[in-house]
Amino acid sequence: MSYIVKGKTADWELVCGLEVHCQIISNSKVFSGASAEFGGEPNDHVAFLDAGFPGQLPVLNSTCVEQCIKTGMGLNAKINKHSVFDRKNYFYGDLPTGYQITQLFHPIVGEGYVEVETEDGKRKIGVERLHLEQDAGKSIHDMHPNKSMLDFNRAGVGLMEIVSKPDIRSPEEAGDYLRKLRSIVRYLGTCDGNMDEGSMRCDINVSVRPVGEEGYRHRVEIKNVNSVKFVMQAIDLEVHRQIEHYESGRDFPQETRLFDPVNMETRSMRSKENALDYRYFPDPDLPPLDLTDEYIDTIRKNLPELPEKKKERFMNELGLSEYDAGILVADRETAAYFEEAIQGQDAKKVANWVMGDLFAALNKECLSIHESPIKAKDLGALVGLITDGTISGKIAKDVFEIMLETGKEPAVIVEEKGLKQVTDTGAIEAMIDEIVKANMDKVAEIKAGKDKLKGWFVGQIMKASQGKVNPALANELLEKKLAEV
Amino acid sequence: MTDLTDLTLSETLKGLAEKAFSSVEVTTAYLKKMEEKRHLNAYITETPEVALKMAEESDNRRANGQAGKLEGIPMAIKDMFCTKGIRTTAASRILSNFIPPFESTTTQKLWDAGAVCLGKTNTDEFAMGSSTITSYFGVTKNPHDETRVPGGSSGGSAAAVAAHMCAGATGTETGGSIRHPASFCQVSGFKPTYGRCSRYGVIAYASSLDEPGVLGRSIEDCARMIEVMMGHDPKDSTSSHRDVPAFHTMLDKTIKGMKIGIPKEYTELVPDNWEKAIQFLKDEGAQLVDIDMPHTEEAGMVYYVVSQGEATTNLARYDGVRYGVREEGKTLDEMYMNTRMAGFGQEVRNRMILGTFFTSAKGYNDYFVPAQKMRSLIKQDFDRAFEKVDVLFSPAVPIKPFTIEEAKHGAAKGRFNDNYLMPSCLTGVPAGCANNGLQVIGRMWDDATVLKVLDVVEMMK
Repeated sequence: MSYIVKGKTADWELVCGLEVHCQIISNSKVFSGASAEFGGEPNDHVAFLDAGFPGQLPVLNSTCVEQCIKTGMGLNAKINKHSVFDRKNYFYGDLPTGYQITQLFHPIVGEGYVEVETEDGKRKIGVERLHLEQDAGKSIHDMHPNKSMLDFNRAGVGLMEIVSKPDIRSPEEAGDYLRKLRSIVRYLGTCDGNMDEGSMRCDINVSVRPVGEEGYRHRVEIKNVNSVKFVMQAIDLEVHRQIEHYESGRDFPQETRLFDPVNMETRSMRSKENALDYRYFPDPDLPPLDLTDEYIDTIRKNLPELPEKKKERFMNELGLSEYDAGILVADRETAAYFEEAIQGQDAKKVANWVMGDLFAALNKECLSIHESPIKAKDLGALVGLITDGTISGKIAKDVFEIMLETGKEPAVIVEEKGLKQVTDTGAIEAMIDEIVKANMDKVAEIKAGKDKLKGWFVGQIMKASQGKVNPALANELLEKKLAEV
Repeated sequence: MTDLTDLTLSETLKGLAEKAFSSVEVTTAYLKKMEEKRHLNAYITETPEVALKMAEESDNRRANGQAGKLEGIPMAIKDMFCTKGIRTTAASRILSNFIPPFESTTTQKLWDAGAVCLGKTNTDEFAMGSSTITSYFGVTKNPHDETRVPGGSSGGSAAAVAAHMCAGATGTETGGSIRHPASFCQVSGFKPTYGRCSRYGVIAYASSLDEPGVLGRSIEDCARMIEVMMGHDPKDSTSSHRDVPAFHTMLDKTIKGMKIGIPKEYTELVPDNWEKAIQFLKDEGAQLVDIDMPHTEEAGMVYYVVSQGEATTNLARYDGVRYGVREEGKTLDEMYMNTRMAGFGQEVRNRMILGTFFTSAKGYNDYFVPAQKMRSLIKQDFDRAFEKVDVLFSPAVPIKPFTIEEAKHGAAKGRFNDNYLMPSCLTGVPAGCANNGLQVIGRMWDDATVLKVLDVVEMMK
């Protein structure tokens, strides 16, 4: 295990589990007809139910159910045919009914796993459960000197809470688990995975123990950490804080803490002694959710290809290396772009262009792949032009630059700029004749054994043709001419 | 001219159909009666302008040959039903300024059938009680003896029906809140099978028990109203998809050959007309069967745990933040406490505290889970009984209405106040009270038979 923290008294290892809240992609909220869209003016997307009006009743949105099942399948998890909604009770201004509808006792998705890759190789991180619940609204405390404002647009949006087992042993594993999870939900279209917009949020459970010790020690929960980098930093900070406490003989409470990325520290939020009793009990407004095998099977049949499967296919069928395949499947858009670009083209060559020139260009412009000025099929066509000898690899680089600027199709650019490779041997021979005639002295040197000068001749040919001659062809014809002279 | 308010709902419908009088005339007569009897405090909110406008529209529809099933009938609505644009309080200070921006499904169905809204009737606060004494708007007086309570929680509706201040009324039951005041006010009351009437727009007390229903001068009147209110509602996930029969056409006045069960636990205390009623059923050709309901005694405790547990979270939304009355405080928590302290009456607060305990981590395992198990056993009592008989028959409330003074000193907590009513609420079966205080309980979804037997019971002289 690579992440072992050497302390004064022992070597310590991390025991960590993540609770990830994913906002479900759906048109309307999980129990009301209001729009679930992100943004809008405050309180634009609020049904009476979302504002907790008397007499309002929840009606389950079947899209949200489907999204949970899809995600469960992406996590290789058991889909529970019977699940039950519970009320989680607490008072807060942005929780309009005074309780959140969630699933404590019988979640819709049971045990599964996510495979992570670290320096030590592949590991399966267990998933304990996935349950369906409502999001809360937002409290805004800085709009008025002594009042808090409430925005219920988010109140009632469907959430999937994905709870991992305490299987994570390093910050890197936590980071990769989160990235994998994000990639899975994006592939499935069940959550957009934007941590900075809060549509994916992470709570971290951290404890440490001396290497070799069985069982778990005091656990600290770090709430609402909103980027992969912060999650990794927060874990590392908390591990060291806990070790310091143990080694100096000080106790620390089982508590909830907040991560402060500015001061790089975690701070106490509330201790376990003040922990709330959420008084969970089954919601009498909602009958248990019972799913049929047919329903589950239909969803399984229509499931899109997941990253792991796609990666295998890229390796086995397209002959890509594991590393390249891994990069190309890491996010859904890149994979989709690549797959569109390889239609009828050499997949390996396309892969090189995507990961090389395209990624570099996008990086430079800070663009994501779906904002790429070069369409996938055009990049494929460019590779096609090289393959069929229409242009050389060198000219292709120039064409790529023009495509980046103009968004034009490569064939059009080649036509307009006259970049077509000269394949007319007669024309090339004429060109060679001229060059040879003008440089008979150098020909003599070659004849005398100075072979290196052949390269100089090829260079002259390329220059004269503005790079449009296929270098191999130029070589061949030059040899022929020199033999004749 | 006869007083139009003396006609039953069914008679009024006939008169309207025959153009003997108009809805505006009937409505005006009821509004006058409401004024005369205002001291009974049956209504929290009267809506004369709305009523006359609706009556006028009803008369127009009838003139155009578009009469609905309750065309022109003036009705009172328990103040637990949200009515769009009309204040709806649940008889609580916390909602004393609440005007719903939406209509409950069941009242909408009544208006769609042509009924006219006279106003909103008194109830115990959030329907928690059986006397209306916990209402923020004061107690309702029993029209038959004004020193006594009308029963509850639908006491305002029962009193309004008894005093002819409406042709019929809606009520809600959680632990007997329709049958209890029906018995105390000598009117008819019917609670359908749980899931028959949508709960959308009905202010929740205990969601797994709450069922909207009706009170009227006769079971036929009740049948006419309830068949309009029932039916599937996509806005209520617990609402049934079953078809709704035209109950009022199924009252065939005979119980010959029917098997009627008499639960011995329901006859520990009986009213004066009990022996006569038993004889009457025999004379009508019914076969009476003695039934054991061994878990009856436990129903009261189960009811309190379940209803208070559910109520405490249903009422958590009344926090002064978005609607209703707010009492300011220095912090959010202080505002909550001030609002809920001043907004809820003592009885509601007591039930909140108990309900919070019953659903706490400890109370849940010690009380809530055992209560749910006992609830299943009570249900089994009914299942076994209905293997042998078609319906169960018993007194609704074997005691006489207590005085308002007695109610203030806890008379409603007496054992015989509601122990014949609660088991049927916990199981969701249909049940009703005839206008002579006798109750009939039926199989799940067999609302028709319950109404049919009750209708016969009302023939007893």
